[in-house]
Amino acid sequence: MARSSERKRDITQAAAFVLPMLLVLLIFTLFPIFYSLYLSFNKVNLVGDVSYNFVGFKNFTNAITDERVIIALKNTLKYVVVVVPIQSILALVLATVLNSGIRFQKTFRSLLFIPTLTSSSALTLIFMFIFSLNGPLNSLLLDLHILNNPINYLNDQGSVMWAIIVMNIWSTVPMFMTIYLSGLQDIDSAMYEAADIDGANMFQKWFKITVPQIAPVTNYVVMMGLTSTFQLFDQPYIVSGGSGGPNNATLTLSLVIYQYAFRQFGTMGYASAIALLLTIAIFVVSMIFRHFSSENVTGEGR
Amino acid sequence: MKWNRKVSGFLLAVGAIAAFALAGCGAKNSSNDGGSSKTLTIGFWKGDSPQESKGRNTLFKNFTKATGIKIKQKVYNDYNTQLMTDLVGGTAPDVFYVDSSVLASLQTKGVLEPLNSYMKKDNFKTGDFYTPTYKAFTGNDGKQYGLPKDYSTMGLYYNNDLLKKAGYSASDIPKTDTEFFAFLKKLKTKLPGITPLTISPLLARQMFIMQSTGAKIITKTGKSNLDDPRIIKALQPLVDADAKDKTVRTFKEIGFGSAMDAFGGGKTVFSDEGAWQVSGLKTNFKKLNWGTTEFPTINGKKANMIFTVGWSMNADSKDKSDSWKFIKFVTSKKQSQQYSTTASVLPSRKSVAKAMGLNDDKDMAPFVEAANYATPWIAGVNLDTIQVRYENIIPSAFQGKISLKDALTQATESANKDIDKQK
Repeated sequence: MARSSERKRDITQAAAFVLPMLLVLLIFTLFPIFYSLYLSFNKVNLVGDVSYNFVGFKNFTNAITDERVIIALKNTLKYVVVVVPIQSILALVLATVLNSGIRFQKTFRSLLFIPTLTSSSALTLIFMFIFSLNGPLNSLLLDLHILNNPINYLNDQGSVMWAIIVMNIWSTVPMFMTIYLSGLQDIDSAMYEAADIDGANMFQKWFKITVPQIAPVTNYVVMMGLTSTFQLFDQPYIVSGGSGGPNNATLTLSLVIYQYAFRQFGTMGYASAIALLLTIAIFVVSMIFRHFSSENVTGEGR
Repeated sequence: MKWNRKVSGFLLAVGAIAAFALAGCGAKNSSNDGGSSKTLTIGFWKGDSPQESKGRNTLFKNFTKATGIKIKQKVYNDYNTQLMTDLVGGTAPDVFYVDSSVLASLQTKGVLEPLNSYMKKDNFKTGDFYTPTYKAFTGNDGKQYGLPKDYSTMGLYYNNDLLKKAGYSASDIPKTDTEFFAFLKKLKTKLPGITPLTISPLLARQMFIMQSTGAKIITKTGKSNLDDPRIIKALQPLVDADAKDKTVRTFKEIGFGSAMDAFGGGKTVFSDEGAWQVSGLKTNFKKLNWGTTEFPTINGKKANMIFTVGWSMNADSKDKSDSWKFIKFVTSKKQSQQYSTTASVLPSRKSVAKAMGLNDDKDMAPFVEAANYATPWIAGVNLDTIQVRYENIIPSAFQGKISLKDALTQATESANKDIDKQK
């Protein structure tokens, strides 16, 4: 009797704790997801006379034949394929260095973490200055006689995406580095000692012990990297002023969605359909990655 | 156990307070929109110059002093996006700025209140407004959806010192386009390292050139017509001057954040900018020795752009009579003169222009003159889409990476596909 009333109280308490978060999730996460799902099958007008007309899969068939969506998909994929491996490898290398007991390692850790704390729009503006025609990067390369003429990185359809890639790697690596650092501390030091006794060198230890042992963290890092890179928006938006130019070079899927949703009337449903396709794309890529990666770390390496 | 209960009780209380706070925010917002208190929400964007903000703030202060109605300011940094979300969410201001270029699309959506009945009731005279600026806010149903606050045209800014260095003076600036392009070539050889003319790769700055051969940038049904051979022919000389001769450069190509920075920094002889640059130059580049003149004729005709922004009323405003009071107040002669003088913009009322003596102001006169023949920045309901596509691709054409014909054909096809989607 007493136990059941205590149990009841526990449940009420638990419900009271969970309720606020549940409400937030319902209102700000689940509702928008289902609403946009609904929108994606409709021709929607939300300004003035609100109307919803069911159009079936028309938005989706339009999207997969839309040239701009294809271009945006290509740009996004190029960005993902370049950024995710580089940022993951760089983060692991930096984490290893910072974990190796070099001098001032705490200072370096804090310094390297600073980019993560800065807002991405501020970072973009700083990098736009660095990459500008009369900016520091061009002056440096001219002074070193690597270039004869300054390059207009941000106004050239060939280089602008690469500039965005560089700024993004720079700003996201520290975050993943920190995740790797905590993972590295979990690796049993006995393994390294055993390897030392067997006469393994630094690189052998890194490839045979660190990399396999850290695989679960790598899975997480790559997964997070995939989802965030697929959603690239702020840098292209700021660099191109929202147009995705020059010549569609910075047009990403998120930017296309934004343009259809907020820059012109009557295409909210179409934008939702593209957003849904983007979600499916991220989901499929993540699942493929999961299928080929293993989290089965037995403690002996693999 | 006891401790546990205390802690959980405390956490619950925090949760409850947070929930109340959230609910409170919501309630507060809705009461503001309800407008039971005498407060009007006014939406605007800040503009480039601090004087403009000063003039606007004085307007608001004067209005509150005269009527006792308080003003709640709502600043738009990304007008198109923010206003659209506000309109969808029902949180748009009572009165807000409307650029002539977006009037058509807002009006056809029914989100603007027609002002005719208010104007009739108060016997509001409209004859004093410059006709093109007043007409810019007349909808396709003949009703009036806003009143112009000011207007701007473009002009040719020249750097006196650089002209002098090249051995010329302001009177040597040619009056026709072909002579002008030849003059730019001479300047380029005489002034190494200096860009003869710096432009902005924007549809609003090139539309009047495009239409100089008789074609319109939109078709009769409002679709993009940028690939019309006459438009390509009209724009070709300017693009060639950049891609081939390098006598014209966009401000991005020479590494500046805006055309004014390039001109103010003394890196370019000419800049084609709006009248709004006058006050910017006076504030930010005090030492610069510059002047303004009208554009050279294009294909034998004078041409220019006219931009105008007006005050419009939200059709969903809860306080329409006060909103009208506000619009009437800020567009009145006295307030218009205060604002135009402080912000150094061109007033939409003829009587104010006269009172300000703008025709005798050597910096402003070319802009006032241009109002007589300029092309308004208005082109149907799809202008934003057409503009975004143009501005996406045109930098590559100016750089010579893609031919102008291909660029405009692509921009047109892409824009028209999207326009079809909206139907």
